[in-house]
Amino acid sequence: MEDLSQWLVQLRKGVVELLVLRLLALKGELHGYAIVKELNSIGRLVAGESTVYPVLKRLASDGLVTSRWVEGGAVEGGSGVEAGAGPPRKYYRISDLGSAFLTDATAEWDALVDSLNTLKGEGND
Amino acid sequence: MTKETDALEQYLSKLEAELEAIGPVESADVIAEIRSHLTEAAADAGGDIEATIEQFDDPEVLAARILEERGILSAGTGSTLPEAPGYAKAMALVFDIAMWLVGVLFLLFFAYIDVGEKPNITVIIIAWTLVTALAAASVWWWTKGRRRPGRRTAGLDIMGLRRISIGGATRIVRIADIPGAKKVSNLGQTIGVALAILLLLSFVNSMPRQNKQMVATWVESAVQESSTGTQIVSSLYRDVTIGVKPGELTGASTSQARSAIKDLVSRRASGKLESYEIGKVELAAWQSGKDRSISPWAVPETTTVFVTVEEFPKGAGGATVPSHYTYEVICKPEPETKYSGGCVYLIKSVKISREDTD
Repeated sequence: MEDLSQWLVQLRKGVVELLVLRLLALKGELHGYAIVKELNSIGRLVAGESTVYPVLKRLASDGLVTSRWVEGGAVEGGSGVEAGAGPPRKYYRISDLGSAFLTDATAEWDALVDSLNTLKGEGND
Repeated sequence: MTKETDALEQYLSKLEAELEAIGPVESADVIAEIRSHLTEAAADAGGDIEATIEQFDDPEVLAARILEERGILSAGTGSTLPEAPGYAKAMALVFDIAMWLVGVLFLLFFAYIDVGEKPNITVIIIAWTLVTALAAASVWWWTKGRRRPGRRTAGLDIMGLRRISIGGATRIVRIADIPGAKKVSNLGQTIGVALAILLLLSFVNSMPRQNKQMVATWVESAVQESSTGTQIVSSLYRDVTIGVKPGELTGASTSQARSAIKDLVSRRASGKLESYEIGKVELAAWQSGKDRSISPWAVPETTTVFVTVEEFPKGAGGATVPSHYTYEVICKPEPETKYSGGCVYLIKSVKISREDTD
């Protein structure tokens, strides 16, 4: 079990990037807390704050996402997120570079899954 | 501050301390984001910030993951932020020790006690107990605090170093290697430290010299008073010899002195006094305050000089044997005197020991 949990940690590290970019591509603009909540609601792949926030930092430094602070909290307005009442939030949005990366990474992922499934199918034969 | 905000601020303070290696700008951004996250999570959980923080990852863990992603910390090999060079750390330590010595010596300077000729043992014991307790307490505080991450010392600042925590380990790095950290100009601080050390050394060096000078002034003053005591006695004999009447000599003298002068005058008048010779002059003592100890901080109230005189009586033929008289001349400084140690001299009392061969 110890080996499996270690493997899951490594897996999450690699997958969370993809998940975050996919989430942002689907939802448009999200802040950190919302991203963590969404990822934890997906399924078994739990991603804590210690995983998500560092990944967000790296994605931002690599230019795959952009960020902005919205003071006084935020509300969904006609033109997206706008300032409201509450604590300031840092919103993330996927960049063009991030979209291109997501497309390539998804293709690689699909190829990987196909390979795994192929091996599984052969094993069941 | 409420208990909830206390818990939040404590968490964020710990996180900030662990994130020093990424620099102040990025660290502030992370802190603000985590603050926002925790505030919102607590609101969703019914406002219980403490419970929310309990479920949140430890600040050390979160900081370590962020440092790993930034490439400053490696999970296998530790920090990639280079440690400061050994000579820089050594120089920082030297400066810190020098500043600690400056502090202790300043306190010793202001607590300086001159114990005088007859030291008060109780005062000495109390003074040294306080000094050693102070020194021990300052060493304890200095060594306890010096190794805490984030603690700045004068030596570290002067050498451009910072003690930070990276992945739970403390290391000293150069400020220049921390991204976004402002390089503080150390020139002013270095000059200030050097001036403080020089000023203290000059104070400490001059202190015993000032005392010595003061004692030398006193001795010189005492010598002058001795000679003035001699002059008083000498002028007394001269006046008597030339025939000045007793009444004219006793104007500024005490009754004891007046009787001694009358006795001298009668010997002159009776023809017994042929000549005289001033013999030994001895400064008896300074009397300062209530005791006889010499204190450089007190002005003497009286000065006593013993003047010995040998009187040669008239005798018929043969060698004459002198009689010995000793005059105790007590000098007292007057407030109008503008010179330090100056006296208005007067014979306040006279002790006569007489050995004559009559």
